[in-house]
Amino acid sequence: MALADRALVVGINRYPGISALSGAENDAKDFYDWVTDPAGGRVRPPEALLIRSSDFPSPSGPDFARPAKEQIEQFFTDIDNCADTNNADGSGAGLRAGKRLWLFFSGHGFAPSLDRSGVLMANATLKRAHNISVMLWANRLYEGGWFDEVVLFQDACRNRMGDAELAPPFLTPRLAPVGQERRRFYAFSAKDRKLSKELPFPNGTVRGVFTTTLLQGLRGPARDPNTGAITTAQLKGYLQDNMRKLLSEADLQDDEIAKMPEVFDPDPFVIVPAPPAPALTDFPVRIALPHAGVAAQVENANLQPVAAANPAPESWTLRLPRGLYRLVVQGVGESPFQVTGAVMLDGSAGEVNVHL
Amino acid sequence: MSTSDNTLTIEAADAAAEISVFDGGLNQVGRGVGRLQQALPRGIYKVRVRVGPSFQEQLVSLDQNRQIEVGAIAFASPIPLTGTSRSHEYHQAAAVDASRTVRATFGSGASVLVFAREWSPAGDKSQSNPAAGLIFCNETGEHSEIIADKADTRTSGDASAGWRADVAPGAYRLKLEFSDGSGLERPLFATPGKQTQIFLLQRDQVLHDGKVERRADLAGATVTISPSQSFDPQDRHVRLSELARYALTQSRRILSDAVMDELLSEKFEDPMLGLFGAHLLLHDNPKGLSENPRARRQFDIVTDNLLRLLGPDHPDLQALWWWRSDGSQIGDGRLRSLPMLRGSWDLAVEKSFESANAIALPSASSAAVVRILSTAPWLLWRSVEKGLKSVETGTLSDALGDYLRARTRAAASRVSRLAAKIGPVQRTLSRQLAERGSQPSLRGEMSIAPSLESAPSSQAAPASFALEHSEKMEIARTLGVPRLVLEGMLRRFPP
Repeated sequence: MALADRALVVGINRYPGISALSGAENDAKDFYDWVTDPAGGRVRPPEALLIRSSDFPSPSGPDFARPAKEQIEQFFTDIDNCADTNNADGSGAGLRAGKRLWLFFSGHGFAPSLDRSGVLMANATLKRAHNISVMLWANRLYEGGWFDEVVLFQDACRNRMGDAELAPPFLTPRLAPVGQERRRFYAFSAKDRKLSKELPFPNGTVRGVFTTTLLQGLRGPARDPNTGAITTAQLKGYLQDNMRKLLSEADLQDDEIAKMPEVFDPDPFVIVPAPPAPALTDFPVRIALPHAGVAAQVENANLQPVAAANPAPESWTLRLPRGLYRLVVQGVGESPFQVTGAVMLDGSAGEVNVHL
Repeated sequence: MSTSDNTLTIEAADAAAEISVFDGGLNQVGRGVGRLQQALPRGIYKVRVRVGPSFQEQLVSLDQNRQIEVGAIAFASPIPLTGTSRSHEYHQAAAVDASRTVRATFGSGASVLVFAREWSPAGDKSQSNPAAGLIFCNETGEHSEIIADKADTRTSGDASAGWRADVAPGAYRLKLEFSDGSGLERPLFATPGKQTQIFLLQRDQVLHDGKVERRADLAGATVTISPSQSFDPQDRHVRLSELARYALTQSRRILSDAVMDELLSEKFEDPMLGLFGAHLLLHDNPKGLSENPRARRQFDIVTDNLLRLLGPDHPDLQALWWWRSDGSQIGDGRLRSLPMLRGSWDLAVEKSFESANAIALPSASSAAVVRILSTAPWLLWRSVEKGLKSVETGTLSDALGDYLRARTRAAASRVSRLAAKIGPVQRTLSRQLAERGSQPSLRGEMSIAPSLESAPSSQAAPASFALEHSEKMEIARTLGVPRLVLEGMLRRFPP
């Protein structure tokens, strides 16, 4: 019996004891839609749990706001029970609960360091910061072999929160069986106590910069230009290149705002396999030449020409897939450039401007 | 190297700069720290040089051998060092002056510098005293000084407040008080013949009542130890020490040969760099130094150097010393004051499971132990709020209670599942045994998605079973409490 992939997707906007967020639930819903999409994360909907604060009745006070830790922890208990069931059913799955676990959390949080970060629960107050240390949980499930692969995305730290106490995962630690091949990939929107940014979209909704970039990449642009697969290395590179493309100049100048995610990727693997006939998205490139009439060519990363114009117009436009290129203008000079695959807030492909 | 390869050489000004090279497929094909030299096929590559949280990128056409030199990259630091992104020359001058001008005397043999400052892109934040709420005191809290009252406060441009005290070597604290009576504390250890310097930037901080107060960022403040008892904004060892601090908190590997040379060198003279380096060696060898003889030797040399620089009483060195390979001891081998680094405290917590007497803190520090926050890389705890008599209000106990309740719920869930299985099995077995005596099999399926309302109340009974040793260790490590303290806390939860 093939083991299923599972997903836990959490988005919390409603924090009556702190301050409300606007984009965390949108991010969670977007990620849930992608992770359960047969062309996306391919998790069967019965195996994916979406928890949003708006799914619960309006609380009469901060202490009654949900989700609290119990709602999240119930998922982990169910995973453990599922592993027991699989172990008992004689299918050879052992104490595994599934093949891959996707964890996605968006909300308030704190991150003084990679392994001491937490996502605040809806019932957190300024005196008692109820939280889940998602990375500790991801590590527990990875190290104990509950899953072969654990993929964690944490889009938190959207406001200034003080640091708080963490509690360890309650599932008893265990070691994965020898021979179980395991991999993990964690990406965090912010690190070193920096802030994650939320942005208003043209349609009036609000979303987080990290999740927006993540989903843009997962939907195709982060594919390996050579293989068409979205690998851990490609996704990491995509996030590192493109998170900042959504930020304003003022945000870019503010060194308290996170511009790059912190990624923990010790084990390279394919996150989304290449489709049968991978169609690489191409992106607009506008090349400004010193004057019209020169001979110009664009070379790919192997220094092979992929486009040429003689004479080239002063403003030369073309479309290229994500990758590294070089503009060579005869008698004038050359300039390498990168097509990062950025997608703008309105969904349009980001234009690359090239100058000599 | 094939004949079609070219050599790419990258030299970074910072020995701890992380260098990555990506090929045209945007896959990483090279990595180095401080320097990288690599033969690569002809092509276009992307070079990323990362220094702490900052980075610089450039594209390289490798159609011939190329050599790239990357200068110092500015990064944000609470220390007003040259070449960092949050430094003004007038802050550097103020810090130099403050480090040399004694404003209080609590003893002799060592000194402490507290330097708090604002920073803004426009350089015009001068409304409040950056030292507001900061209190320096000895370990028992008997002798204290309100820093803002005596500091050299400068309000031209972004404000700064510098304060130096001459002190007897030993354990001290820096407290930060908020207007609602809450506060935070950090340990400072004054090393004989040296100046312990703490640098703080301002940060908007949310109080318990929701009010935002702009105060010094005690959790993010950086400590350095100056052998010359003065501040040098050009000190490249301090810059490297800041990068080591960042690497430690973000689990990054920066211990190149060049960085290790700094740590192992005879001229090694930056104690904070040594403390960070020793922790990085432990961090980079999670299975233990015994499995890496080279790292073990390096660790022993670094801690030897630290003993020479810090003396045997320094709590951070004591915590590290327990992990040496030679089984030797400094002082009486016990931790007698709280260390400055959270990593050192974690080592002490781990040691407490081996030797209950390893930690012998004075009673004033014992109260802090149940209020430690999950910070990094510095040790930080909540102050006892004014007006509260008991220190047992720390939320560590609440966190432990949450953990025990969750564990109980998970166990209850397992028991009820087993009961649900065993019930029918028992009935079937009885029937089958009665009829034919055949053996039933156990099979089952479940859906992972639980009902959102199915979670038991948070008021469910706490743990009803004993914790294993490894579980206690993990709880102690996560909460930051030594074994005896944890066991005391656990006794408050009825079986």
